[in-house]
Amino acid sequence: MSINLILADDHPLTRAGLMAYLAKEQDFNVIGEYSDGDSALAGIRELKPQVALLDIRMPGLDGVSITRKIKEEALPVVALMLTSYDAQQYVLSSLRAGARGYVLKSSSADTLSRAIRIVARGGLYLDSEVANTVEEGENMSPEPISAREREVLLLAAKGLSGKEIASQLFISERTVQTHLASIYDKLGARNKTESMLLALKYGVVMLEELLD
Amino acid sequence: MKRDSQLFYITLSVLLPPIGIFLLAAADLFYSQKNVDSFSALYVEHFTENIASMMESGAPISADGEFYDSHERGTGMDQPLIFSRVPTFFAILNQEGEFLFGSDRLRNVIEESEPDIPVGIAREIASAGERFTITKFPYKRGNYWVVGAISWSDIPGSTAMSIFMWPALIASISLWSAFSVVKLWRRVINPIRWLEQKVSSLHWGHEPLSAYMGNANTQVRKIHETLVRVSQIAIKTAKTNRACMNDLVNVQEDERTKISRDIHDGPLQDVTALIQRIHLARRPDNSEEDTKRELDLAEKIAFTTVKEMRALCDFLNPPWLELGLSQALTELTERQSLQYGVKIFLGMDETLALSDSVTLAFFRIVQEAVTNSVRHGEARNIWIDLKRNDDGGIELTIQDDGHGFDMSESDTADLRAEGHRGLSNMEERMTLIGGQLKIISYRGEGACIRGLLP
Repeated sequence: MSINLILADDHPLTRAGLMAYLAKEQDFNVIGEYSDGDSALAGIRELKPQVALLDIRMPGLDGVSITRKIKEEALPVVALMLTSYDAQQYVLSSLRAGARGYVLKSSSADTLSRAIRIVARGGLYLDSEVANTVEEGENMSPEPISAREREVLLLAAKGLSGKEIASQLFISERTVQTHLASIYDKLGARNKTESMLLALKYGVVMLEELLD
Repeated sequence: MKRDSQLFYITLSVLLPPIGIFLLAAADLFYSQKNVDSFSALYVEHFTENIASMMESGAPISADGEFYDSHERGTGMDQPLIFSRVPTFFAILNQEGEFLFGSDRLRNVIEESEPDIPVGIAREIASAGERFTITKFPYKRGNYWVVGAISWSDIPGSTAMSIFMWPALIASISLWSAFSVVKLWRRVINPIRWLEQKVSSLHWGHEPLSAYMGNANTQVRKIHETLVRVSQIAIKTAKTNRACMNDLVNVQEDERTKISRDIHDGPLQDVTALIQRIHLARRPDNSEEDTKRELDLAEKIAFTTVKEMRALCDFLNPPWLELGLSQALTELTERQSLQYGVKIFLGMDETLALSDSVTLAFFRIVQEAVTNSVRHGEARNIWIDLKRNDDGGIELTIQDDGHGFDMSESDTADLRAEGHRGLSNMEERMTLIGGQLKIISYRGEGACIRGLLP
């Protein structure tokens, strides 16, 4: 079964490179190519591709805004962000807007293809470079985190401070810090944002839970 | 020029009435004087002639010159004869002009200064400190003389006043007004005109207003002093502005140099290496393995390039700033924490909606403050707090546990002059968005930077 795609990127050279990557895959069918955000959104509305590969920074609408429109209009389109930036906050913003994946443009053709297939299936794909991990096969699973740790992580993801989490769970701030440290350690994260991204990546928490 | 001619007409209209009145009063005074002179001369002539004719008709004069008063009157005539209100004196002289008889006033005058008394015509003479209108008439065939005089010193005040006072008073008032107008010109109007001319032609910011050499009145002098100070402040401001512009240009050049060097040392070298690897990969005598190895290397180099370029973009103007302050600060502090190996605790009110300029300012301040804390304070922990305070303002606090420094040693402007722009940059960013920056630090007690936006 082939996958219908559109590609939106304002840089002609990278767009050509990506098109070359995609052309190699028999089951990918690129039905639209755009160099700015507004025409990309128009194409998405008209063609309703399964997957939209969106650059974050483009003239006109940016990728995150297009993703938000897709979600608002409930279009049957999966947004996969394709960018040059490895800022974790971009990943979080994209996910909050409704994107199902985040791939760096410097990724290999294989990585890109895999990401497209995963999101087309309804999965979530996060580039290994943005969540600092060594890729150890698709099904690498971390040390399981406890239910309490999961609760702490979800609250922290909502932007609550250590003190606020402590008062909500009726535990001491110190315990919250201990839980967080344990989460970081188990997931291999170095900070809160990374722990959230890794938890998503490993399926420890669901995107919907995290972003509620 | 229109204003100047207006000034001229105003002055003229103030000056004309006193001058006119002065001239009239002077003419009046002159004619009054003349009238009084001719009247008193006439009076003295008539009076003396009458006495002479009285004497002619038989006033007894002895041979040795003794005078006998046959009518039993006029003895001891040391009082002036009072006819109407004019004090009149007379005396009898012999042929040689020696005093025989008469009032003591005249006797003194005649014996002491022997004045040349005109015959038949009264004239004014000054003698022994007195002024007389005086004449003499002969009688007894010229053997004797009758002298008649009025003394001006004895004319009662009111009489003289009634004649001379009013014109004199009016003349002096007019003179005084004219004098005042001249004084007004010299001390007020001229200095103001000078000031106006100087101020309008002054090259502000380059030269001070020159000193006024004349004698201006206090208010004008104060205005002048103030303007001199303003002109000096203008020079100072212009100087500071030039220094700031200079600094701005320097900063810009420094930044350009740094960016240029970064691109040159990083991406440019990488891409050069990349081209070399591609060339190597295309060598015709390559084995398939050689080609693969070169391409692998080329890919690695390309990855490095991308990373360096991202780092450069982040350094210049992080694209993720557009996500808003909360996420931008999270990204920044997480990066800095990894980069410097310090713990950064970020506490912020995520509901704050801040404009782009405020976001950028706070972002840069946090960036600078954390760098300072690590570099200069060798801090291990940094606490960043962004919240709305009780007054409704927004407060950004960056506290560290580093060495701290003594803020009293120097202020940010001095630091800037010494090339340390960090603190003054933070201060200027706060000022630009309408806030203030407070730096609280003591040596050995950590540093606290607080930005307050009302």
